[in-house]
Amino acid sequence: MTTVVRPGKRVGMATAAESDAFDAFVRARLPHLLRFARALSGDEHAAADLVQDALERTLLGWRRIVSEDPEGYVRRAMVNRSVSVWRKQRRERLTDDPPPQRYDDPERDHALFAALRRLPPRQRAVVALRYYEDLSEAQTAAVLGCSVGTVKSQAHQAMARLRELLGEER
Amino acid sequence: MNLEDRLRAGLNTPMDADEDQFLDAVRRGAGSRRRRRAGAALAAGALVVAGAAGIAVGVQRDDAAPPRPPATRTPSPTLPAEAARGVIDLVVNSPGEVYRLTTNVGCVACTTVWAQAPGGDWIRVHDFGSEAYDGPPQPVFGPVTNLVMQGSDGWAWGNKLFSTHDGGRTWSEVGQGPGRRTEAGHSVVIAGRFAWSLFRSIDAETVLYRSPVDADEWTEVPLPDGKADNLVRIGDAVVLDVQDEGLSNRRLRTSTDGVRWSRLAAPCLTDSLLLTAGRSAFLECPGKNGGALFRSTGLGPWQRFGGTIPARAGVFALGEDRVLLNGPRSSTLVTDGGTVRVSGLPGGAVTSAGSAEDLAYAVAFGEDSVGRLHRSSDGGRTWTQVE
Repeated sequence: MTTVVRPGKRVGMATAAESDAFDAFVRARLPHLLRFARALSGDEHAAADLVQDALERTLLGWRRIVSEDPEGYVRRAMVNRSVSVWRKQRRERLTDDPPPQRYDDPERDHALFAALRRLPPRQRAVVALRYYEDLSEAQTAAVLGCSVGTVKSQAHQAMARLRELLGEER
Repeated sequence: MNLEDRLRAGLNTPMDADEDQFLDAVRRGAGSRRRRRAGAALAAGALVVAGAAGIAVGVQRDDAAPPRPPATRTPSPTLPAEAARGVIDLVVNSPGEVYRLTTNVGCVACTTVWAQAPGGDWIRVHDFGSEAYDGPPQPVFGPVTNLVMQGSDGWAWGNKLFSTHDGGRTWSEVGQGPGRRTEAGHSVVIAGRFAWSLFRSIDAETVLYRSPVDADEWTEVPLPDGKADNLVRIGDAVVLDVQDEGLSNRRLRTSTDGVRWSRLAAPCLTDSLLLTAGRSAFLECPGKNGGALFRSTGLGPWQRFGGTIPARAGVFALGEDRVLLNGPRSSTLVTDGGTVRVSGLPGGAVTSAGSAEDLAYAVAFGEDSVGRLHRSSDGGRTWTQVE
Protein backbone atom coordinates (compact mmCIF):
# COMPACT_ATOMS: atom_id res chain seq x y z
CA MET A 1 0.00 0.00 0.00
CA THR A 2 1.39 3.37 -0.98
CA THR A 3 1.15 6.18 1.50
CA VAL A 4 0.54 9.64 0.15
CA VAL A 5 2.75 12.11 1.99
CA ARG A 6 1.10 15.48 2.24
CA PRO A 7 2.95 18.76 2.71
CA GLY A 8 3.36 19.63 6.35
CA LYS A 9 2.88 16.07 7.47
CA ARG A 10 6.43 14.81 7.12
CA VAL A 11 7.64 15.52 10.59
CA GLY A 12 11.36 14.99 11.06
CA MET A 13 11.84 13.14 7.81
CA ALA A 14 13.89 13.96 4.77
CA THR A 15 12.49 11.65 2.18
CA ALA A 16 9.24 10.07 1.15
CA ALA A 17 11.02 6.74 1.34
CA GLU A 18 11.69 7.24 5.04
CA SER A 19 8.10 8.27 5.57
CA ASP A 20 6.93 5.18 3.72
CA ALA A 21 9.22 3.04 5.87
CA PHE A 22 7.71 4.50 9.03
CA ASP A 23 4.19 3.89 7.71
CA ALA A 24 5.08 0.33 6.80
CA PHE A 25 6.56 -0.27 10.23
CA VAL A 26 3.46 1.05 12.00
CA ARG A 27 1.08 -0.89 9.77
CA ALA A 28 3.01 -4.10 10.30
CA ARG A 29 3.52 -3.82 14.03
CA LEU A 30 0.58 -1.78 15.32
CA PRO A 31 -1.53 -4.74 16.51
CA HIS A 32 1.45 -6.21 18.35
CA LEU A 33 2.41 -2.86 19.89
CA LEU A 34 -1.15 -2.26 21.05
CA ARG A 35 -1.32 -5.66 22.73
CA PHE A 36 2.02 -5.05 24.43
CA ALA A 37 0.85 -1.62 25.63
CA ARG A 38 -2.36 -3.19 26.89
CA ALA A 39 -0.29 -5.65 28.89
CA LEU A 40 1.75 -2.76 30.30
CA SER A 41 -1.24 -0.67 31.25
CA GLY A 42 -3.98 -3.25 31.74
CA ASP A 43 -6.28 -0.93 29.85
CA GLU A 44 -7.04 -0.71 26.14
CA HIS A 45 -7.68 3.00 25.99
CA ALA A 46 -4.52 3.75 27.94
CA ALA A 47 -2.70 1.35 25.61
CA ALA A 48 -3.65 3.40 22.58
CA ASP A 49 -2.31 6.54 24.26
CA LEU A 50 0.87 4.75 25.22
CA VAL A 51 1.51 3.50 21.69
CA GLN A 52 0.73 6.86 20.16
CA ASP A 53 3.10 8.60 22.55
CA ALA A 54 5.92 6.16 21.74
CA LEU A 55 5.32 6.36 18.00
CA GLU A 56 5.38 10.16 18.07
CA ARG A 57 8.84 10.02 19.68
CA THR A 58 9.91 7.35 17.24
CA LEU A 59 8.80 9.42 14.27
CA LEU A 60 10.86 12.39 15.46
CA GLY A 61 14.03 10.30 15.45
CA TRP A 62 13.08 7.86 12.73
CA ARG A 63 16.06 8.55 10.47
CA ARG A 64 18.41 7.33 13.17
CA ILE A 65 16.16 4.76 14.82
CA VAL A 66 15.28 2.93 11.61
CA SER A 67 18.87 1.80 11.22
CA GLU A 68 18.93 0.38 14.74
CA ASP A 69 15.98 -1.49 16.22
CA PRO A 70 12.74 0.44 15.75
CA GLU A 71 10.55 -2.05 17.55
CA GLY A 72 12.99 -2.35 20.42
CA TYR A 73 13.05 1.41 20.66
CA VAL A 74 9.26 1.68 20.73
CA ARG A 75 9.04 -1.10 23.29
CA ARG A 76 11.55 0.57 25.59
CA ALA A 77 9.85 3.92 25.19
CA MET A 78 6.54 2.37 26.23
CA VAL A 79 8.06 0.58 29.20
CA ASN A 80 9.86 3.69 30.41
CA ARG A 81 6.76 5.76 29.97
CA SER A 82 4.45 3.34 31.71
CA VAL A 83 6.79 2.87 34.65
CA SER A 84 7.80 6.41 35.37
CA VAL A 85 5.96 9.29 33.88
CA TRP A 86 2.67 8.13 32.55
CA ARG A 87 0.58 10.93 33.96
CA LYS A 88 2.27 13.82 32.26
CA GLN A 89 1.60 12.61 28.76
CA ARG A 90 -2.07 12.30 29.58
CA ARG A 91 -2.10 16.01 30.29
CA GLU A 92 -0.38 16.70 27.01
CA ARG A 93 -2.59 14.48 24.90
CA LEU A 94 -4.24 16.21 22.00
CA THR A 95 -7.88 15.75 22.78
CA ASP A 96 -9.53 17.19 19.71
CA ASP A 97 -9.04 14.06 17.66
CA PRO A 98 -8.13 11.04 19.75
CA PRO A 99 -7.01 7.85 18.05
CA PRO A 100 -9.74 5.47 17.01
CA GLN A 101 -10.81 2.99 19.65
CA ARG A 102 -12.61 -0.18 18.68
CA TYR A 103 -11.63 -2.41 21.52
CA ASP A 104 -14.85 -3.94 22.71
CA ASP A 105 -13.98 -7.60 22.26
CA PRO A 106 -16.46 -9.60 24.36
CA GLU A 107 -14.06 -12.55 24.48
CA ARG A 108 -11.47 -10.59 26.41
CA ASP A 109 -10.50 -11.87 29.84
CA HIS A 110 -11.85 -8.89 31.74
CA ALA A 111 -11.01 -10.32 35.14
CA LEU A 112 -7.40 -10.80 34.11
CA PHE A 113 -7.02 -7.22 32.94
CA ALA A 114 -8.78 -5.87 36.01
CA ALA A 115 -6.26 -7.76 38.11
CA LEU A 116 -3.36 -6.48 36.00
CA ARG A 117 -4.49 -2.91 36.58
CA ARG A 118 -4.11 -3.42 40.31
CA LEU A 119 -0.42 -4.27 40.03
CA PRO A 120 2.26 -1.59 40.44
CA PRO A 121 3.57 -0.41 37.05
CA ARG A 122 6.94 -2.13 37.38
CA GLN A 123 5.31 -5.46 38.14
CA ARG A 124 3.00 -5.03 35.15
CA ALA A 125 6.04 -4.31 33.00
CA VAL A 126 7.70 -7.51 34.17
CA VAL A 127 4.54 -9.51 33.44
CA ALA A 128 4.19 -7.93 29.99
CA LEU A 129 7.78 -8.62 29.04
CA ARG A 130 7.83 -12.15 30.45
CA TYR A 131 4.38 -13.38 29.37
CA TYR A 132 3.53 -11.33 26.32
CA GLU A 133 6.95 -10.69 24.79
CA ASP A 134 8.26 -14.03 26.13
CA LEU A 135 11.56 -12.45 27.10
CA SER A 136 13.91 -14.28 29.43
CA GLU A 137 14.56 -12.93 32.90
CA ALA A 138 17.90 -11.57 31.71
CA GLN A 139 16.34 -9.88 28.68
CA THR A 140 13.59 -8.44 30.85
CA ALA A 141 16.21 -7.09 33.23
CA ALA A 142 18.05 -5.49 30.32
CA VAL A 143 14.92 -3.76 29.02
CA LEU A 144 13.98 -2.51 32.47
CA GLY A 145 17.53 -1.57 33.43
CA CYS A 146 17.48 -3.60 36.62
CA SER A 147 19.01 -6.76 37.96
CA VAL A 148 17.76 -10.25 37.23
CA GLY A 149 17.16 -10.56 40.94
CA THR A 150 14.81 -7.60 40.80
CA VAL A 151 12.97 -9.20 37.89
CA LYS A 152 12.64 -12.43 39.84
CA SER A 153 11.39 -10.57 42.88
CA GLN A 154 8.93 -8.43 40.94
CA ALA A 155 7.64 -11.42 38.98
CA HIS A 156 7.28 -13.41 42.17
CA GLN A 157 5.23 -10.66 43.80
CA ALA A 158 3.19 -9.99 40.65
CA MET A 159 2.20 -13.61 40.18
CA ALA A 160 1.35 -13.98 43.84
CA ARG A 161 -0.83 -10.89 43.68
CA LEU A 162 -2.53 -12.02 40.45
CA ARG A 163 -3.27 -15.43 41.96
CA GLU A 164 -4.79 -13.72 44.92
CA LEU A 165 -6.89 -11.38 42.82
CA LEU A 166 -8.00 -14.14 40.47
CA GLY A 167 -8.61 -16.66 43.21
CA GLU A 168 -6.07 -19.15 41.95
CA GLU A 169 -3.87 -21.40 44.04
CA ARG A 170 -0.08 -21.40 43.77
CA MET B 1 -5.50 -23.43 32.65
CA ASN B 2 -2.73 -22.25 34.96
CA LEU B 3 -2.05 -18.57 35.48
CA GLU B 4 0.94 -18.47 33.16
CA ASP B 5 -1.09 -19.93 30.27
CA ARG B 6 -4.02 -17.68 31.10
CA LEU B 7 -1.73 -14.66 30.94
CA ARG B 8 -0.27 -15.69 27.60
CA ALA B 9 -3.73 -16.31 26.14
CA GLY B 10 -5.30 -13.18 27.61
CA LEU B 11 -2.47 -10.85 26.64
CA ASN B 12 -2.60 -12.16 23.06
CA THR B 13 -6.28 -11.39 22.59
CA PRO B 14 -6.50 -9.42 19.33
CA MET B 15 -6.69 -5.66 19.55
CA ASP B 16 -7.25 -3.95 16.27
CA ALA B 17 -7.11 -0.33 15.26
CA ASP B 18 -7.57 1.74 12.13
CA GLU B 19 -3.99 2.13 10.97
CA ASP B 20 -4.65 5.16 8.78
CA GLN B 21 -6.30 7.13 11.57
CA PHE B 22 -3.63 6.05 14.01
CA LEU B 23 -0.84 7.17 11.69
CA ASP B 24 -2.54 10.50 11.14
CA ALA B 25 -2.82 11.06 14.91
CA VAL B 26 0.84 10.11 15.37
CA ARG B 27 1.97 12.61 12.73
CA ARG B 28 -0.05 15.41 14.26
CA GLY B 29 1.29 14.63 17.71
CA ALA B 30 4.89 14.48 16.47
CA GLY B 31 4.43 17.82 14.74
CA SER B 32 3.20 19.35 17.96
CA ARG B 33 6.17 17.94 19.86
CA ARG B 34 8.59 19.30 17.30
CA ARG B 35 7.15 22.78 17.57
CA ARG B 36 7.38 22.66 21.35
CA ARG B 37 11.00 21.53 21.18
CA ALA B 38 11.92 24.31 18.80
CA GLY B 39 10.40 26.80 21.22
CA ALA B 40 12.24 25.26 24.12
CA ALA B 41 15.51 25.40 22.21
CA LEU B 42 15.18 29.10 21.58
CA ALA B 43 14.30 29.78 25.19
CA ALA B 44 16.86 27.54 26.73
CA GLY B 45 19.77 29.96 26.44
CA ALA B 46 22.76 28.65 28.27
CA LEU B 47 22.94 24.93 28.48
CA VAL B 48 24.29 22.81 31.24
CA VAL B 49 27.77 21.52 30.52
CA ALA B 50 28.98 18.19 31.72
CA GLY B 51 31.90 17.88 34.10
CA ALA B 52 34.77 15.50 33.80
CA ALA B 53 33.38 13.66 30.83
CA GLY B 54 33.00 16.91 28.98
CA ILE B 55 29.69 15.95 27.50
CA ALA B 56 27.46 18.82 26.55
CA VAL B 57 23.91 18.48 27.72
CA GLY B 58 21.51 20.48 25.67
CA VAL B 59 18.70 20.63 23.24
CA GLN B 60 19.76 18.90 20.08
CA ARG B 61 18.08 20.49 17.13
CA ASP B 62 19.39 18.06 14.55
CA ASP B 63 17.64 14.71 14.56
CA ALA B 64 20.68 13.14 12.94
CA ALA B 65 23.02 14.20 15.75
CA PRO B 66 24.32 11.36 17.93
CA PRO B 67 22.43 10.84 21.16
CA ARG B 68 24.00 12.48 24.19
CA PRO B 69 22.34 11.66 27.45
CA PRO B 70 22.88 14.03 30.34
CA ALA B 71 25.99 13.32 32.33
CA THR B 72 26.03 15.89 35.09
CA ARG B 73 23.42 18.38 36.03
CA THR B 74 22.42 20.59 38.88
CA PRO B 75 18.77 20.58 39.95
CA SER B 76 16.73 22.10 37.18
CA PRO B 77 14.68 25.16 38.06
CA THR B 78 12.30 24.32 35.23
CA LEU B 79 10.88 21.33 37.09
CA PRO B 80 8.16 22.28 39.55
CA ALA B 81 8.51 20.73 42.97
CA GLU B 82 5.07 19.19 42.82
CA ALA B 83 6.12 17.26 39.74
CA ALA B 84 8.15 14.88 41.88
CA ARG B 85 5.96 12.16 43.26
CA GLY B 86 5.90 8.44 43.75
CA VAL B 87 8.83 6.74 45.46
CA ILE B 88 10.58 4.11 43.36
CA ASP B 89 13.63 3.31 45.46
CA LEU B 90 14.85 3.76 49.02
CA VAL B 91 18.20 3.78 50.78
CA VAL B 92 18.15 3.46 54.57
CA ASN B 93 21.75 3.27 55.80
CA SER B 94 21.21 4.70 59.26
CA PRO B 95 18.60 6.89 60.95
CA GLY B 96 20.63 9.89 59.81
CA GLU B 97 21.30 8.70 56.27
CA VAL B 98 18.12 8.08 54.32
CA TYR B 99 17.58 8.70 50.63
CA ARG B 100 14.65 8.23 48.35
CA LEU B 101 14.31 8.24 44.59
CA THR B 102 11.05 9.56 43.16
CA THR B 103 9.58 9.80 39.73
CA ASN B 104 9.26 13.27 38.31
CA VAL B 105 6.32 13.87 36.05
CA GLY B 106 7.63 17.30 35.10
CA CYS B 107 9.52 15.79 32.21
CA VAL B 108 10.10 12.53 30.38
CA ALA B 109 11.99 9.69 32.02
CA CYS B 110 12.92 11.89 34.97
CA THR B 111 13.69 10.91 38.53
CA THR B 112 14.70 12.95 41.55
CA VAL B 113 17.09 12.10 44.39
CA TRP B 114 16.16 13.29 47.88
CA ALA B 115 18.12 13.18 51.12
CA GLN B 116 16.43 13.32 54.48
CA ALA B 117 17.45 16.20 56.72
CA PRO B 118 17.91 15.64 60.47
CA GLY B 119 14.47 17.08 61.17
CA GLY B 120 12.82 14.67 58.77
CA ASP B 121 12.27 17.02 55.86
CA TRP B 122 13.35 15.91 52.42
CA ILE B 123 16.00 17.90 50.59
CA ARG B 124 15.89 17.72 46.82
CA VAL B 125 19.49 17.07 45.83
CA HIS B 126 19.38 16.14 42.15
CA ASP B 127 17.17 15.67 39.11
CA PHE B 128 17.98 13.06 36.51
CA GLY B 129 16.82 13.61 32.97
CA SER B 130 14.73 16.33 31.43
CA GLU B 131 12.78 16.33 28.22
CA ALA B 132 13.92 19.88 27.53
CA TYR B 133 17.51 18.70 27.36
CA ASP B 134 17.03 15.39 25.66
CA GLY B 135 16.64 16.58 22.12
CA PRO B 136 15.73 13.69 19.84
CA PRO B 137 14.43 10.54 21.46
CA GLN B 138 17.07 8.50 23.17
CA PRO B 139 16.90 4.83 22.33
CA VAL B 140 19.10 3.90 25.24
CA PHE B 141 18.23 6.45 27.86
CA GLY B 142 15.65 5.39 30.35
CA PRO B 143 14.74 6.58 33.78
CA VAL B 144 17.04 6.07 36.74
CA THR B 145 15.29 3.52 38.89
CA ASN B 146 17.88 2.31 41.40
CA LEU B 147 20.04 4.01 43.97
CA VAL B 148 22.79 3.00 46.39
CA MET B 149 24.55 5.49 48.67
CA GLN B 150 27.25 5.33 51.29
CA GLY B 151 28.31 8.61 52.82
CA SER B 152 29.15 11.00 50.03
CA ASP B 153 29.54 8.22 47.46
CA GLY B 154 26.74 6.65 45.50
CA TRP B 155 25.57 5.16 42.26
CA ALA B 156 22.25 5.44 40.45
CA TRP B 157 21.22 3.50 37.41
CA GLY B 158 18.57 2.54 34.94
CA ASN B 159 19.92 1.73 31.52
CA LYS B 160 22.90 3.93 32.32
CA LEU B 161 25.06 4.14 35.39
CA PHE B 162 25.80 7.41 37.18
CA SER B 163 28.05 8.12 40.15
CA THR B 164 28.31 10.81 42.77
CA HIS B 165 31.06 11.58 45.25
CA ASP B 166 29.57 14.66 46.86
CA GLY B 167 26.49 13.29 48.53
CA GLY B 168 24.32 13.28 45.43
CA ARG B 169 24.59 16.91 44.39
CA THR B 170 26.42 16.22 41.14
CA TRP B 171 26.45 13.03 39.13
CA SER B 172 28.62 11.83 36.28
CA GLU B 173 27.80 9.13 33.83
CA VAL B 174 30.04 6.13 34.29
CA GLY B 175 31.14 4.64 31.01
CA GLN B 176 29.20 1.48 31.35
CA GLY B 177 31.29 -1.07 32.90
CA PRO B 178 33.45 1.14 32.24
CA GLY B 179 33.82 2.36 28.70
CA ARG B 180 31.01 0.19 27.39
CA ARG B 181 28.14 2.00 25.80
CA THR B 182 25.62 -0.66 24.86
CA GLU B 183 22.24 -0.79 26.46
CA ALA B 184 22.42 -2.90 29.53
CA GLY B 185 21.23 -3.56 32.99
CA HIS B 186 23.26 -3.15 36.12
CA SER B 187 23.45 -4.33 39.65
CA VAL B 188 25.58 -2.19 41.92
CA VAL B 189 26.38 -2.96 45.54
CA ILE B 190 28.75 -1.36 48.01
CA ALA B 191 30.63 -3.92 50.07
CA GLY B 192 33.41 -2.78 52.37
CA ARG B 193 35.75 -0.37 50.61
CA PHE B 194 34.58 -1.34 47.14
CA ALA B 195 31.66 -0.80 44.83
CA TRP B 196 30.85 -3.72 42.57
CA SER B 197 28.92 -3.54 39.32
CA LEU B 198 27.50 -6.48 37.44
CA PHE B 199 27.07 -5.20 33.91
CA ARG B 200 24.69 -6.94 31.55
CA SER B 201 24.48 -6.26 27.83
CA ILE B 202 21.31 -6.58 25.80
CA ASP B 203 22.45 -9.98 24.58
CA ALA B 204 22.90 -11.13 28.17
CA GLU B 205 26.69 -10.90 28.32
CA THR B 206 27.70 -10.26 31.92
CA VAL B 207 30.87 -8.63 33.20
CA LEU B 208 31.78 -7.90 36.80
CA TYR B 209 33.65 -4.72 37.75
CA ARG B 210 35.00 -3.34 40.99
CA SER B 211 36.07 0.15 42.03
CA PRO B 212 37.18 1.82 45.24
CA VAL B 213 34.11 3.43 46.75
CA ASP B 214 35.54 6.95 46.71
CA ALA B 215 36.54 6.89 43.05
CA ASP B 216 35.42 5.59 39.70
CA GLU B 217 38.44 3.43 38.97
CA TRP B 218 36.75 0.34 37.67
CA THR B 219 38.64 -2.83 36.91
CA GLU B 220 37.20 -6.01 35.50
CA VAL B 221 36.93 -8.94 37.87
CA PRO B 222 37.04 -12.45 36.37
CA LEU B 223 33.71 -14.17 36.89
CA PRO B 224 33.54 -17.64 38.37
CA ASP B 225 32.20 -20.39 36.10
CA GLY B 226 28.60 -20.05 34.93
CA LYS B 227 26.38 -17.16 33.96
CA ALA B 228 26.06 -14.54 36.68
CA ASP B 229 22.44 -13.51 37.10
CA ASN B 230 22.50 -11.34 40.15
CA LEU B 231 24.80 -9.57 42.57
CA VAL B 232 24.06 -8.92 46.23
CA ARG B 233 26.06 -7.98 49.31
CA ILE B 234 26.44 -9.76 52.61
CA GLY B 235 28.57 -7.67 54.95
CA ASP B 236 31.86 -6.94 53.18
CA ALA B 237 31.42 -9.82 50.75
CA VAL B 238 29.58 -9.98 47.46
CA VAL B 239 27.48 -12.91 46.42
CA LEU B 240 26.95 -13.85 42.80
CA ASP B 241 23.90 -15.83 41.80
CA VAL B 242 25.28 -18.05 39.06
CA GLN B 243 23.21 -20.16 36.74
CA ASP B 244 24.01 -22.62 33.98
CA GLU B 245 22.48 -21.57 30.69
CA GLY B 246 19.23 -23.38 30.06
CA LEU B 247 19.21 -25.13 33.41
CA SER B 248 17.72 -24.26 36.76
CA ASN B 249 21.05 -25.04 38.27
CA ARG B 250 21.84 -22.07 40.46
CA ARG B 251 24.86 -21.69 42.64
CA LEU B 252 25.93 -18.97 45.00
CA ARG B 253 29.53 -17.80 44.83
CA THR B 254 30.94 -15.34 47.33
CA SER B 255 34.11 -13.28 47.50
CA THR B 256 35.59 -10.29 49.27
CA ASP B 257 38.51 -9.63 46.94
CA GLY B 258 37.23 -10.74 43.53
CA VAL B 259 40.05 -13.26 43.28
CA ARG B 260 39.01 -16.11 45.50
CA TRP B 261 35.42 -17.31 45.16
CA SER B 262 33.81 -19.68 47.63
CA ARG B 263 30.63 -21.65 47.29
CA LEU B 264 27.82 -20.67 49.59
CA ALA B 265 25.78 -23.82 50.01
CA ALA B 266 22.04 -23.27 50.26
CA PRO B 267 19.08 -25.38 51.39
CA CYS B 268 17.22 -24.66 48.16
CA LEU B 269 17.81 -22.57 45.09
CA THR B 270 15.36 -23.42 42.32
CA ASP B 271 12.64 -20.75 42.29
CA SER B 272 13.89 -19.45 45.60
CA LEU B 273 14.19 -15.80 46.51
CA LEU B 274 17.47 -14.50 47.95
CA LEU B 275 17.33 -11.35 50.08
CA THR B 276 20.06 -9.66 52.08
CA ALA B 277 20.36 -7.06 54.80
CA GLY B 278 23.66 -6.14 56.42
CA ARG B 279 25.46 -9.36 57.35
CA SER B 280 22.37 -11.52 56.93
CA ALA B 281 21.05 -13.37 53.93
CA PHE B 282 17.55 -14.79 53.77
CA LEU B 283 16.38 -17.48 51.41
CA GLU B 284 12.71 -18.11 50.77
CA CYS B 285 12.18 -21.67 49.60
CA PRO B 286 8.71 -21.93 48.03
CA GLY B 287 6.39 -24.81 48.82
CA LYS B 288 2.97 -25.95 47.74
CA ASN B 289 1.19 -24.39 50.71
CA GLY B 290 3.66 -21.72 51.62
CA GLY B 291 7.38 -21.39 51.89
CA ALA B 292 10.18 -21.85 54.35
CA LEU B 293 12.57 -19.09 55.31
CA PHE B 294 16.24 -19.66 56.07
CA ARG B 295 18.90 -17.26 57.31
CA SER B 296 22.66 -17.21 56.99
CA THR B 297 24.61 -14.70 59.07
CA GLY B 298 28.10 -13.68 58.06
CA LEU B 299 28.16 -16.35 55.34
CA GLY B 300 27.67 -19.01 58.00
CA PRO B 301 25.42 -22.07 57.71
CA TRP B 302 21.74 -21.59 56.89
CA GLN B 303 19.25 -22.00 59.68
CA ARG B 304 15.49 -22.09 59.61
CA PHE B 305 14.14 -18.65 60.43
CA GLY B 306 10.58 -18.38 61.63
CA GLY B 307 7.71 -20.65 60.73
CA THR B 308 6.02 -21.36 57.43
CA ILE B 309 5.86 -18.41 55.10
CA PRO B 310 2.33 -17.95 53.76
CA ALA B 311 1.92 -18.23 50.02
CA ARG B 312 1.29 -14.99 48.16
CA ALA B 313 3.25 -12.88 50.58
CA GLY B 314 5.82 -10.36 49.44
CA VAL B 315 9.04 -11.00 51.37
CA PHE B 316 11.44 -8.20 52.36
CA ALA B 317 14.61 -8.32 54.41
CA LEU B 318 13.97 -5.40 56.71
CA GLY B 319 17.13 -5.87 58.75
CA GLU B 320 19.66 -8.45 59.82
CA ASP B 321 17.20 -9.94 62.28
CA ARG B 322 13.82 -9.32 60.72
CA VAL B 323 11.84 -10.12 57.61
CA LEU B 324 8.65 -8.38 56.57
CA LEU B 325 5.93 -10.53 55.03
CA ASN B 326 3.45 -8.38 53.13
CA GLY B 327 0.49 -10.66 52.50
CA PRO B 328 -2.57 -9.77 50.47
CA ARG B 329 -4.66 -9.04 53.55
CA SER B 330 -2.24 -8.69 56.41
CA SER B 331 1.44 -8.30 57.10
CA THR B 332 3.68 -9.94 59.67
CA LEU B 333 7.19 -9.44 60.93
CA VAL B 334 9.40 -12.48 61.45
CA THR B 335 12.12 -11.91 64.03
CA ASP B 336 14.39 -13.99 66.21
CA GLY B 337 11.80 -13.58 68.90
CA GLY B 338 8.91 -14.89 66.86
CA THR B 339 6.27 -13.59 64.50
CA VAL B 340 4.27 -10.47 65.23
CA ARG B 341 1.36 -8.87 63.44
CA VAL B 342 2.13 -5.69 61.52
CA SER B 343 -0.29 -2.80 61.26
CA GLY B 344 -0.54 0.12 58.89
CA LEU B 345 0.74 -1.44 55.66
CA PRO B 346 -1.58 -2.04 52.69
CA GLY B 347 -1.88 -5.68 51.72
CA GLY B 348 0.19 -7.01 48.85
CA ALA B 349 1.36 -3.56 47.85
CA VAL B 350 4.89 -3.21 49.23
CA THR B 351 7.66 -3.09 46.63
CA SER B 352 10.68 -2.19 48.73
CA ALA B 353 11.60 -1.72 52.37
CA GLY B 354 14.62 -0.96 54.50
CA SER B 355 15.46 -0.15 58.08
CA ALA B 356 18.20 1.07 60.39
CA GLU B 357 17.85 0.51 64.10
CA ASP B 358 14.17 1.14 64.87
CA LEU B 359 13.54 3.37 61.87
CA ALA B 360 12.04 1.64 58.86
CA TYR B 361 10.64 2.78 55.57
CA ALA B 362 8.57 0.90 53.01
CA VAL B 363 7.19 1.81 49.62
CA ALA B 364 3.69 0.57 48.83
CA PHE B 365 1.86 1.08 45.58
CA GLY B 366 -1.79 1.98 45.82
CA GLU B 367 -4.39 1.54 43.16
CA ASP B 368 -3.39 4.91 41.75
CA SER B 369 -0.04 3.34 40.78
CA VAL B 370 1.92 5.83 42.87
CA GLY B 371 4.58 4.58 45.28
CA ARG B 372 3.65 5.82 48.76
CA LEU B 373 6.19 6.06 51.52
CA HIS B 374 5.37 4.43 54.85
CA ARG B 375 7.40 4.92 58.01
CA SER B 376 7.84 2.89 61.17
CA SER B 377 9.68 3.95 64.29
CA ASP B 378 9.39 0.64 66.12
CA GLY B 379 11.37 -1.61 63.82
CA GLY B 380 8.53 -2.38 61.43
CA ARG B 381 5.66 -3.35 63.70
CA THR B 382 3.45 -0.32 63.18
CA TRP B 383 3.51 1.82 60.06
CA THR B 384 2.14 5.18 59.04
CA GLN B 385 1.81 6.45 55.51
CA VAL B 386 3.86 9.63 55.45
CA GLU B 387 3.25 10.72 51.86
